[in-house]
Amino acid sequence: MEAEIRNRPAFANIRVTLKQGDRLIAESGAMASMSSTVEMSTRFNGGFFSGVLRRVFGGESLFINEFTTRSSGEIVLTQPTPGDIECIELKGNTLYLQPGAFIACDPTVSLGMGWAGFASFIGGEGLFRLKVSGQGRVWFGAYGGIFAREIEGEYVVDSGHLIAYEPSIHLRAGMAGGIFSSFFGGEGLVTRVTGPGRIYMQSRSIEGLAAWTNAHLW
Amino acid sequence: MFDSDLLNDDEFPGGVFSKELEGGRAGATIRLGDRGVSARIEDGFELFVAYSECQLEIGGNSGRMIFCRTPDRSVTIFCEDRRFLPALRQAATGELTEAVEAMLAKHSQRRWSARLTTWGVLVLCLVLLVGGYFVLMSGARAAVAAVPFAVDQKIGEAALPSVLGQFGSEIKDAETSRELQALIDSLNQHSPLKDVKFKVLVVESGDINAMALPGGTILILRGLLDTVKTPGELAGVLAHEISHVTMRHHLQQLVRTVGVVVAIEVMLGDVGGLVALGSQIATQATLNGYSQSQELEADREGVKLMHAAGYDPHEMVTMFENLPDANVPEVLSWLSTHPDSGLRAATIRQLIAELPRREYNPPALDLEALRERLGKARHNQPVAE
Repeated sequence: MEAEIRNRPAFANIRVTLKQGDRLIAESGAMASMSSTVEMSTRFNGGFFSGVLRRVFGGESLFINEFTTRSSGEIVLTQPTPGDIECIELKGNTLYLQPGAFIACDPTVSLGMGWAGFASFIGGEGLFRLKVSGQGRVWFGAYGGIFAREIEGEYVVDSGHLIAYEPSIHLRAGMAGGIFSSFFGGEGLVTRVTGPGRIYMQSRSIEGLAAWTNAHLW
Repeated sequence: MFDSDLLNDDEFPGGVFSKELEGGRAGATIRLGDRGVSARIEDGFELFVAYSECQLEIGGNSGRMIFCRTPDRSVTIFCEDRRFLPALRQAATGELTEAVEAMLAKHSQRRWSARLTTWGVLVLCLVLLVGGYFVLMSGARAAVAAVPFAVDQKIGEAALPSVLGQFGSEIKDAETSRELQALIDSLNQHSPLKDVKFKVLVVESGDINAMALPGGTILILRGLLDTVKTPGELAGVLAHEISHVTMRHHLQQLVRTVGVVVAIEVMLGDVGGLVALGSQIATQATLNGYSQSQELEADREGVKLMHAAGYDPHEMVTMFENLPDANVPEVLSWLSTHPDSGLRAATIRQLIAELPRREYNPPALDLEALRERLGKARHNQPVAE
């Protein structure tokens, strides 16, 4: 199965070419177009109750789509926000994705739900997160550009900008500076990440856009 | 991910960071040997950290991930399995005992701290929810008292077209309006806001209802005028609706609905935004009803108005007893914002019993003549397209 991320970085989408026997798992609603030779089946995302959990707390769909073909075909997958898409290859390792980031994966990758903790919640990253593990490719998207960073020691990420991180990364909510500078400096709460491990960040945050838009509505 | 069910007792699921690996990381099976910790990845490649040079750290997302690192940090083997640290203490006896003991103590302390924090946060959330509710309820009254009555009037004016649109057109008859206005004025002169200028509209609708908009506009549906048996019963309905206005129940609903935002706006003296928002909520509140406590409060004040005006407040009870209960079976009435008629009737009787005795007279209003005039006015009005 071949996949190519096109139109990067602002309006990235994934073009996947399937041959007979290939399978692709994708988030419900990610499919933008597909060949008529491609078949789509929908099932609960890991079972009804875990699917519900993922929907309510993880921002993911209750359902997951599986694409197959009896001959060959093409699918184009996309995401709701303008921004980049990244593909990583899991080699038995695990990655946590923020709500709504997941787009697609190989069928050999396991999808699960994990408790992100109050630090993540306070830092604007949600109470739950999606856990991807196993062997295979995972595609995830972001609002804005995606950049990865290897963390050794402590690093500060503004709320809403952290999209994925490894289980070896510790999260702690905190203030950007003192009370005065945190709130009047416009940064508020941040997430302090401690390594070793890798994090993925997005260059824009939806909350920032919403706040800017609201301020200009009156 | 490595299925821990398939691992031997001395093997643990974990991972490894190393620049030697493609991508710099991989999942691995961790094994504790005689000389050190090894991590074997899927293709059989193995990385090793000797106990003699192993630097232990604890951390990760869960706070209990153990990192075994070489001094130059070129290799980091990590594992989150609960059995790993005790097994490491046993396997690395002498070389890492002190570090492992310190780590176990630190981990135990963190677990208690995490549990306390979790419980603390849950209790705080509960307190905030419950406390916030009561603060909001009492704060709503104080916030409403600070808002001038002119705001109620503006909200009512803005909401009138959409409320009217839900039912039908106004039946215009000058004599009827004059009579109803006189009845309202006779009640209102005894209310806390006797300077409020009430306005009454009769609406063409078969529904048995009357409703008040904030600021003093009262809509009476024709169905109600056809149903009430005496002028006293009509006075009872009007007394109830007048009380909703003078007690400013709409604005209280508004404050409760929007809560903190409105409270802050009121404190800052910015009430402009309330009008636009209030129109929308007032429409909803007028159509969907008030809270149970507000309905009972309006009954209580309505009884006082009737008594002060010299009208028999018992007629409020007879009116409820004649009224068909709204589509809510008795057992579910506590769910509805309209307390069931039986409860209201009992509450009103109790209130009346507490009032001083006096002589009552019926309102000076000819119901039959009023209905006849309305019938003629309906026929004479142009039909809406």
